[in-house]
Amino acid sequence: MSKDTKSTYDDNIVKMFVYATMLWGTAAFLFGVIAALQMAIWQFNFDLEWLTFGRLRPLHTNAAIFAFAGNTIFAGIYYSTQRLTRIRMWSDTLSKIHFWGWQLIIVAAAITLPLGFSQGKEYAELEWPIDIAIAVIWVVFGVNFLMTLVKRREKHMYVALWFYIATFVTVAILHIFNSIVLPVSFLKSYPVYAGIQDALVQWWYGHNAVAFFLTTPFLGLMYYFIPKAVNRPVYSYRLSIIHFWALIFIYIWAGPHHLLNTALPDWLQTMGVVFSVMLWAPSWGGMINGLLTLRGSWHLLRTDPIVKFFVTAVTFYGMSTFEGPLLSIKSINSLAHYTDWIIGHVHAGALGWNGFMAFGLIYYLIPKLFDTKLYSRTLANAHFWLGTLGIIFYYSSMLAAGLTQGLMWRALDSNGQLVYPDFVETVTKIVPLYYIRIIGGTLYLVGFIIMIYNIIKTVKSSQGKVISVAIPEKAYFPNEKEGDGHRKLEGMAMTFTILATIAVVIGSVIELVPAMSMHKYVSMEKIVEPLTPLELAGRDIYIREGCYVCHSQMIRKMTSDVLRFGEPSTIEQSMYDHPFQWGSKRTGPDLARVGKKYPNMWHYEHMKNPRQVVQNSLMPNYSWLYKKDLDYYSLRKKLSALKRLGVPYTEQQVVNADVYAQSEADGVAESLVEAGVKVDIANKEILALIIYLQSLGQKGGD
Amino acid sequence: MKQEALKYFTNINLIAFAFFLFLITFIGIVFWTLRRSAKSQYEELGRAPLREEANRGK
Ligand code: HEC
Repeated sequence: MSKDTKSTYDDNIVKMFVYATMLWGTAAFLFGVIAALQMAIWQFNFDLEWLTFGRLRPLHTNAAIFAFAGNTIFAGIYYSTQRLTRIRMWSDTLSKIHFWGWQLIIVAAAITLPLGFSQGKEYAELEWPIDIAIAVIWVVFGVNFLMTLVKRREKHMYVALWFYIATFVTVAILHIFNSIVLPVSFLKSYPVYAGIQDALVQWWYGHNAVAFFLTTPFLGLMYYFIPKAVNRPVYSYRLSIIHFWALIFIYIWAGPHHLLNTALPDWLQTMGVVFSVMLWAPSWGGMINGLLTLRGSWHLLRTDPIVKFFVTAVTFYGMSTFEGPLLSIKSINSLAHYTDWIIGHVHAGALGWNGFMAFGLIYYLIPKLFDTKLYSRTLANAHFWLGTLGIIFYYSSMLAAGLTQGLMWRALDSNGQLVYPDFVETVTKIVPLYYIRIIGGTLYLVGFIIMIYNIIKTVKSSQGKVISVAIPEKAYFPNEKEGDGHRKLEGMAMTFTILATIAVVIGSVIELVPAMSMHKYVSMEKIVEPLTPLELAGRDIYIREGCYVCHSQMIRKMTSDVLRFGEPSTIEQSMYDHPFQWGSKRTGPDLARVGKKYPNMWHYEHMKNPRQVVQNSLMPNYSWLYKKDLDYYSLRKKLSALKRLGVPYTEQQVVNADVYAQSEADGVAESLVEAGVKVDIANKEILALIIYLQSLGQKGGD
Repeated sequence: MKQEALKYFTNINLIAFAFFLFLITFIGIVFWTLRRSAKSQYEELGRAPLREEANRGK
């Protein structure tokens, strides 16, 4: 490239991120629709191991969050940061490494997740080599971004940049701390945290991934692109500053609201509730600030598709951040948790807020970047209405499904007995609503494809014209009154970054350190036995197949949970679980105490084809478990790794793990043959899964 | 050493203290930002996204 690149913005990188957004968005939405089909019609699991719901769902969430939303964020950040700092990105090379590195990570995820390589933690499923790559690429992005700020030719750092800084810092901290594992092999590892500790770290991560990957960066985009779209400054700049600090101070504490009514100590639950409810105020402040930016330009809402998307997105932001605190109230949570209401809540945020912000951004950027006009406004409007309708279908059906199922689970008759003791009955009831969801998701996908067509046409109409936008020659350093504290602070990119980091770290420490000292809550009188080698092998299959996306292993302290599933789960019962598998959704029943509930033969039939034993079950078939041979050999390494993490295995158990597992497998096989199994099942994976299921709730800790 | 340090974090008073420190800092920021005298300056700062365009001379 010639020397004068320094005098133009790097818009090429923005284009690349936009294209990537469109590519991965298609994948994410398509996987979503297939997953929705599987929930209504089990045959859509196709009996293919790599397409089954337990593996597809992580692929869908990772694609939506990290591939679709991720590339959107980067496109918007690269575009706006350069313009707000009046310089080109600090290093074109780092920009390129960032782009290609990120896409490579997505490809790696798209290969490993369907193959069943998973850490078994939501939104953090990727195995450790990919985790390391994410950390490296994230730092590459951060260095490039922060250096651009340091070199900037504009005195003040506009508030959008603060949101980006907070995003960079916090996501780095979250990702690194949640991903600390002990590798067993190239694509298998165990988290260093166990049980309740792992639960707290995971939901500190999970909640703040929503906060700092799907909220703060998009708010930064909102504060830059809405003023651009309507050509007016933000309604109140001061409110945006308060919005920023309020989110930084409050968000990080709210993680425990994902663990309400569980075995988590009460004071932590209460803290999570209080902070979640507090979030309501700044979120709505931010929403109002975004909407009122349109004051005097409301007519654009009728005429400009970009404004339509942005305004609707902000409205959904308001809706989701109203619903979030509501769902954090313990009594409401006891009804909504584990149901489809939560799924509806998440999609109102993801499809409405993140998706529509992304679409507005793309419709804004592409004509600008190619110095041309959008090919068709009509199509953009069609996209808008299809998308909106899609979300309405989606959300309302999931809300209805959640409420219906939640109420059925807790319904008691006059004798205090469950009205619907048969779990599958509460599933069949909501299947019609699952069909409506499919319609919603499909509408949304169709709208998106229309957008892609529209964008391709727009790019073509520019006839390959290469334009580069010159950077204003003048820097902007107005004379300022000396001694204005906060604004001086804003002037210092690094200092500002460090202070925001401190706020986030203190919040995290206070939320997490109790987890580190959880031994105080673990009673030593309650003896818990670790899993036997074959049970452990079964547990790893459970993680590989993603059973946790449909099954919880956490009986809450509620009458209806106890009547249905048995005594509440204790902290001790999962104290050796690396990772914890408490789950977050009950499409199927809780499994924490399923051990010994059924004979081995029942599980044997059930896993092969659930409908053979339970009419109308939605659970996929797991035929491949009956063909694949067990890997005894790796068990020594696995036990040894877990021993190092504090699971009380003896040296003897570690050394003989494979031999012992083999004899256990023979035992299970024998019992099945006695019960009438005719085919050869020696050393098959199903044996390990059965023995694991039979061990649940049978290891002490009560 | 590590256990020593960790011990304090189950101390609910310390957590309450940190919380109030946070709260006071935050309230401080709010008041600082909302000072009447700073209004016009902040309005000027809020124009940053639009300024760059005006300068493009196109
Ligand atoms: C698509 C969601 C889904 C996935 C994925 C799933 N299940 Fe299920 N599971 C269900 C549903 C629905 C039921 C209730 C109907 C039934 O018993 O088949 C169920 C029931 C069960 C039961 C019977 C529980 C009881 O108390 O009656 C067991 C055991 C079970 N599943 C194990 C597993 C295992 C092991 C995996 C992973 C290999 C798995 N499930 C994956 C949906 C799922």
